[in-house]
Amino acid sequence: MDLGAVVPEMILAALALVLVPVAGWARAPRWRTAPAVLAGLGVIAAMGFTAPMLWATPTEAFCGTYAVDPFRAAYQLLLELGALLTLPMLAAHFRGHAQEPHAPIAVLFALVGAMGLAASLDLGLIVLFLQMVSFPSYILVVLARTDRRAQEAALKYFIYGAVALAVMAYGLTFLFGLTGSLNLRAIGAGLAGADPAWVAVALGLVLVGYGFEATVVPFQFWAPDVFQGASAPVSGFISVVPKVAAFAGLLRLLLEAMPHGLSSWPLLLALLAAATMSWGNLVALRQRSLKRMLAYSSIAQAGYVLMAVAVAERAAGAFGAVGFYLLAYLFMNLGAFAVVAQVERAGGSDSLRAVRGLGRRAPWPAVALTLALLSLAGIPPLAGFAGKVLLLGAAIDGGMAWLAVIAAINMAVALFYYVRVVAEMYFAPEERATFAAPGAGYALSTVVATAGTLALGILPALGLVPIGLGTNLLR
Amino acid sequence: MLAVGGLPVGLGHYLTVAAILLVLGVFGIFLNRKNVIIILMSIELILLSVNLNLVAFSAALGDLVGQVFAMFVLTVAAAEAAIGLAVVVVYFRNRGSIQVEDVNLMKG
Repeated sequence: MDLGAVVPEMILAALALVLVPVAGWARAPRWRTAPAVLAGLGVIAAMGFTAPMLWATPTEAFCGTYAVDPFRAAYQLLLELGALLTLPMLAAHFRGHAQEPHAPIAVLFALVGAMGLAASLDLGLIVLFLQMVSFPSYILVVLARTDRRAQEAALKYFIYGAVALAVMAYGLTFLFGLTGSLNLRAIGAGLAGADPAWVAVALGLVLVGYGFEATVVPFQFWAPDVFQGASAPVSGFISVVPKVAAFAGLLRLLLEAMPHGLSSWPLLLALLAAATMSWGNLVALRQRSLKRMLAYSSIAQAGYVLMAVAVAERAAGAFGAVGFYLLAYLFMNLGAFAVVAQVERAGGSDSLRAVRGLGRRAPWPAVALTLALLSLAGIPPLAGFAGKVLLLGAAIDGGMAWLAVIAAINMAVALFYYVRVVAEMYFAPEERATFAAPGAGYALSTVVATAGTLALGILPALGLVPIGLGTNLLR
Repeated sequence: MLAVGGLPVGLGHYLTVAAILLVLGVFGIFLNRKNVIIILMSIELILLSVNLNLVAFSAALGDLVGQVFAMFVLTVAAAEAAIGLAVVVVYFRNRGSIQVEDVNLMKG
């Protein structure tokens, strides 16, 4: 039996299923935190079982449908880390509400889907796991039952998601029809002789689904509304876990099913990357809501990562750059959302004015937000800087210097809107005198995310070594 | 192969019908200015076109795996309808309307 290949997934899925009735029983206030704690322990246990796979020889399990390789282990560890960082702030956000025991279950289900997507070698599994990432994410947004904005966000998220993933499934059927196989590697072998026009159609339709999950232009329209409407910890989660999973799935699909730049996907992705980063940064410049600004910022960040995905076959460093940047992005973006969640909780608003004078009212959260934003902007010695250097280097190595130039201009423009928030915190006259510390969960998420941002910036080897192992892909 | 009125019905015909269903579904979503339920129905149309494609390819290739895949897509469609209706019900309780033109709290 190949069950040994899916131990981490089995732990998390079994825990999620057990927690469904447990959440029903845990109605008394003092038991409501139990599912979140159990989920956290389960994720840590799953990480313990995922990590040894970093040194595994690439093989496949379940009749060639599921990969056991270091690539999968590296991305699954990223996803588990993202979920682990979200759980404390999510628990703190829903503390005292009836939904408190339900949120961690949705996180676990989404995590299992995301982890499966990183390992799938089969079109059927890809469709199922993509849906499995999305369904719990819709539910996380809808959990804020009385918030009208959250309801609208959930509706938009669901409609865009359902359409994008259905259109992608339609595209995947053509890969099956052209090659007669659902296996990615068999498709890669079979597509070489197929009609290029149909291959291009299939590629375009498949990019709709991955583009939606990774917020790539022109499939990013849902992100600003959903990130603004959802509560900040949930926005943090859906800005990280589905995105990392989509990049893992996209890399595997392109490298295995469309090898050697079939139907010139490197150029297509390069153009999409340029459009994505430019659109995200330009629109972010005029945002007044922090969550909406972070949404456009995360669109721009997806553009930077896509730049290295486009050269994944040509540049030796591209693969590691994508993984390292996603790791850095995970820490800095969740750090930013964790502080915005506290600001929103304390002041009831996520507008730019809500952080005015935060540097004096709440020095530590202000420092954490400053570090996260400067890292997103790419200021040394933070994680975002090391990541951006790797991405730009990969693009230049891969013969796309023009794209690296566009990215560098974008990074300079982006500095303006990140620094504006920092300036509001430290140099604007303060409006409110108090800032009630809103809970230990927020603090835990913030501290870990900030520590990660700093550690990766000062010692990039901490991330580069495991990610470097993860470039070993089953092919 | 089926023959209707002397015209053989082949893979191309099935794919054309599926493509028409897909286009109908996509247009139903973007041109519909009335009711969210119609959007849910349009999503089902798109998933239907996926299934039709899979079954047609499966029959043409003589490979059952496509039909198995179609069963999975049916399951996904059922789960999606359940979650979609749940989202719409919660939305209606809060806002008292599911008109598409009322979904406009956030812009910019």
